[in-house]
Amino acid sequence: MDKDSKTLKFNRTIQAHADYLYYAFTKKTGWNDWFSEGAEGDALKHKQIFLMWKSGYSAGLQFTHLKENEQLTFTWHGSEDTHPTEVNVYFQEQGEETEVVVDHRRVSADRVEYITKLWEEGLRNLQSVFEEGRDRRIYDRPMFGVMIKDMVTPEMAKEKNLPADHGMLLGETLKGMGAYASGLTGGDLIVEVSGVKIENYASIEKVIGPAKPGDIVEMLYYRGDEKRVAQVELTLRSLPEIPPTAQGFSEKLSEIYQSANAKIDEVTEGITETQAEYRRKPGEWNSKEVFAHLIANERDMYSWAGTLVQGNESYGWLDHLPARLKSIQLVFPQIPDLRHELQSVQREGVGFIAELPGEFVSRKSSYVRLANSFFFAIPMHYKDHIGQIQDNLAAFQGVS
Amino acid sequence: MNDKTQTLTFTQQVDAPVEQLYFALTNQPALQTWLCNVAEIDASENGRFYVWWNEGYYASGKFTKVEENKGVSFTWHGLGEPTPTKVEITLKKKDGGTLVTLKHSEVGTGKAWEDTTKEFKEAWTKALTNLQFVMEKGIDKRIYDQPLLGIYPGGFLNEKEAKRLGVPVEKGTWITGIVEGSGAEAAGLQADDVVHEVAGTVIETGFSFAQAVRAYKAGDEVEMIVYRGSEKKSIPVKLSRRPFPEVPPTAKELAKEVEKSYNQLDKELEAIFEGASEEEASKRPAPEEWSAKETLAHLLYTERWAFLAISTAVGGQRGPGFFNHLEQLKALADSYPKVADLIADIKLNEKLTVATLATLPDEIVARKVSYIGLANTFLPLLGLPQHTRSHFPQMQAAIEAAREK
Repeated sequence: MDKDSKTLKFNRTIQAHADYLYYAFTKKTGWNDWFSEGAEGDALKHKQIFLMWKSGYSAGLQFTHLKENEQLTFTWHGSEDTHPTEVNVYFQEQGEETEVVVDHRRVSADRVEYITKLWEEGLRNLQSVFEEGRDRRIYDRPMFGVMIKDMVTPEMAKEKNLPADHGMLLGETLKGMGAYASGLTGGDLIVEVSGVKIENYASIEKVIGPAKPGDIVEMLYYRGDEKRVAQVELTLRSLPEIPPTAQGFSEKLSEIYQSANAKIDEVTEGITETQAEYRRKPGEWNSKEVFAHLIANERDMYSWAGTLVQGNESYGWLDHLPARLKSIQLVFPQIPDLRHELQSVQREGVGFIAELPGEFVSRKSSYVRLANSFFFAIPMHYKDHIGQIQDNLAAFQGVS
Repeated sequence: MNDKTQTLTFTQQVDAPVEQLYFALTNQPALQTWLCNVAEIDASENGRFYVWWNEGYYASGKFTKVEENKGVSFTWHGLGEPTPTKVEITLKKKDGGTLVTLKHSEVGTGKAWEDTTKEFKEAWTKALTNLQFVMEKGIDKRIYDQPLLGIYPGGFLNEKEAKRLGVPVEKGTWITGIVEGSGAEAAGLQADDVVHEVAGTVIETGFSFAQAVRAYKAGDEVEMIVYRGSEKKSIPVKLSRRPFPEVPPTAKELAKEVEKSYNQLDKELEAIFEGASEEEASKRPAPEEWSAKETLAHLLYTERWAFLAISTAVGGQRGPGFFNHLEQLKALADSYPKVADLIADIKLNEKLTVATLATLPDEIVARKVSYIGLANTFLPLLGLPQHTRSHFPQMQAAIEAAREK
């Protein structure tokens, strides 16, 4: 075992101070900013961190030695690895830049390729995140250009009467990107891409992981009950400019809300309580429930943002819970109440963003992730749900 | 190298249906109530498996087999173990309950595995006993068996709190209340005493207490180092058995009891703000310290958070995250023009909680592993009311400080 194992060495010089990089290797938010796609634990408090990737790979880390801003040592239990390995990370600050050295020992021969790629891409991204505020996992990722509404499970398929028991159900497709250009649209159910059966996020990774922008994939999908095929080009996503200050972030956010609210007002003008409570079919939300969901979603977003600032982000997205949607309507029973509450939660959010701590903004790594995710997700999310209210109203028109 | 391996087998009969045990094996929060301190799992084939104990051990791996109501298998990469091993847990209906069989295989033999083997044996036996206890009684034995000091701790000291309390140390927790009939009461401890050390362990975090009394049991005596102002006292305190929390057996009764407790808290809360102007309530005693109104905002967040805990317990999801950012509290406090509006919203949230508890689905009440923990979140003995009350002196002090200026 040992004679076949190797020590892998990686290094990169990054324009950032050692304390920021130390944070990136010790807090769960720090790791997620550049490396993992989910993390638990805390190197400083508990000496343990668990890293996860959408591909299904995960690693448990036990920190055995920590020297603030200089060095850390941890064991690495990778989910596919045959035995525990050991990692040393050194930070050497010189003026405005810091050299990061990663020393991964006892890697077995058959895992060398995987671990090498992980660290090489990781450190390149670490540099990009800290120097340019660009997370390459988002900026360089070839994409279909779809918003996934649900990953279909057999239970869901039964409940919603879907034509397949797996696949990704689209919320919508993004203008200017491949899926849109090939005619796919919201409500389509993609069951297979390039011969890979789509069952979960890991199956998407299987397709996207090795792909490059410009590649063409074949998608099998259902529109209604009809099975179709489409050739879809993978492209890069265009991303919005990120304001460098919290104040700028907050103003831009406020604009996003204003335009969403204007659209909501337009769509719901003159809506009656009966219309707002109309349910198209069992399992679908009525318009009041859509409002309640938007309120819950705003609250959860800022709750996540708050934990992100703390460095221990938590992923409790609970904006679909029936009990919660019901309870929000108990407090805000009519559409004007709901609209008022939604705007008040938005204002609170805008106020919070304006007050983001300076240290958080200047460290960039999490700030950029927060801004990217907000600027991308919020308009999309509103658009999606405003469409849902429109559908409800149109269907109501049809029956009455 | 010794290539021979062994399989360790454990069995445990549990008086609960197979479905509930399957839930306890495959649900993240449920796993935390009997096995580990933190679980991060995705119970599907090839899904991740990570369990972690506060004492510093963890195991990671992945699920290799997941069969509904029959059992699960996963790989086990435990900290400090030479190679990964395998665990298979099977469930079988037996005698009106369930027989749980756990097989830990591919455990090595020889010197390198001696300690690990011994620990596996002890730990699995303990864990399965706890599983039975949790499933049948709804209580985590690991907590229930911890002896009780009998104090309600407040926050953990920092420079400012140390100054407020006039103590010469910067580590410890101040007392907000004493459990009736406890050793702490008999020893004469009182509110605002600062507990600096218990049985030689300095109190720094919430884990410190458990660490300090780990080697003791009810009836033992431990030495506490306590500061009352600048005066240092060394006090022997007798540890007592933890009272078994009496949880109302039905959702309706639970809701009633929680409502009673809320009514009492609201009265005390309103008394604090009686006669305080908006300005006094909004003034921070120091630039980084919460104003009374910001503390109220924190209490509102806590109420919302606790309300979410109901939904997550019902859905079996992981609970929401929590944060205490000054910026966030300020934004929330500022969004209410008046203190009275903020208090009204807190009361509204309390009403929601009560109404939602009253209509908890029967299957949740029957699923003890979820119900008891949830009930204790809201009952005075262990949960929220104690937290709310621990902030009362802080609000009072903030208002008084604003008046003096």
